[in-house]
Amino acid sequence: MSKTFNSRLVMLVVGFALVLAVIAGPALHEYPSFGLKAGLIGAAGLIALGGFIFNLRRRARARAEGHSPEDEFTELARLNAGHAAFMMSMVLWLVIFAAQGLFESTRTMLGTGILGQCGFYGICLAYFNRSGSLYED
Amino acid sequence: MKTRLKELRAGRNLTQQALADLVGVRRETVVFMERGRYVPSLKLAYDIAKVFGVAIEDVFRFDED
Repeated sequence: MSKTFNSRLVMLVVGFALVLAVIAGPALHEYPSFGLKAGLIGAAGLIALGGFIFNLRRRARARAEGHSPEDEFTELARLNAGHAAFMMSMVLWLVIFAAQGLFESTRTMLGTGILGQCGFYGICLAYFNRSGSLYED
Repeated sequence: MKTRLKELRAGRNLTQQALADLVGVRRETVVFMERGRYVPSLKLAYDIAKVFGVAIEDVFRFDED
């Protein structure tokens, strides 16, 4: 494992947790209004759609120029991100169940956990793709 | 991992993208290998060594510890 892996990823995860706490904080104590829910869902949908279109265009451009859009590193980065995100998710669920009194309802609790899992995977994938440091190092 | 990849590539006047195309990987993967961050698979290491006409250990070297 790379020497820089732990510190950088921990900082990223802590940053994500802080962002999540700021966004989800009000929603944890007060059931979110329709406007807030629609806004969050809309923003998440736009980010997902934007990422999907960006990746499609990037791959098409690489193919058109005769380059490889994916290789063994991208595959390993996905596997490493999945592994790291799974480990973090286990801790996340432990924290969520330990602090279940903070949540308004079971649905909010499950939603926060699932959103957190997706976020962890996204952070880990971005980290591995940008740093190039995988577990094998 | 220590690597002479950058030196060998410069010696052949190959760009990172040109080397990436020759061995079928992305340019970013070549960048990570040159920085010693990514350890390539045996197949990729073999393909790279073949491009330069040298042995794998002439391109990549692993520390004993």
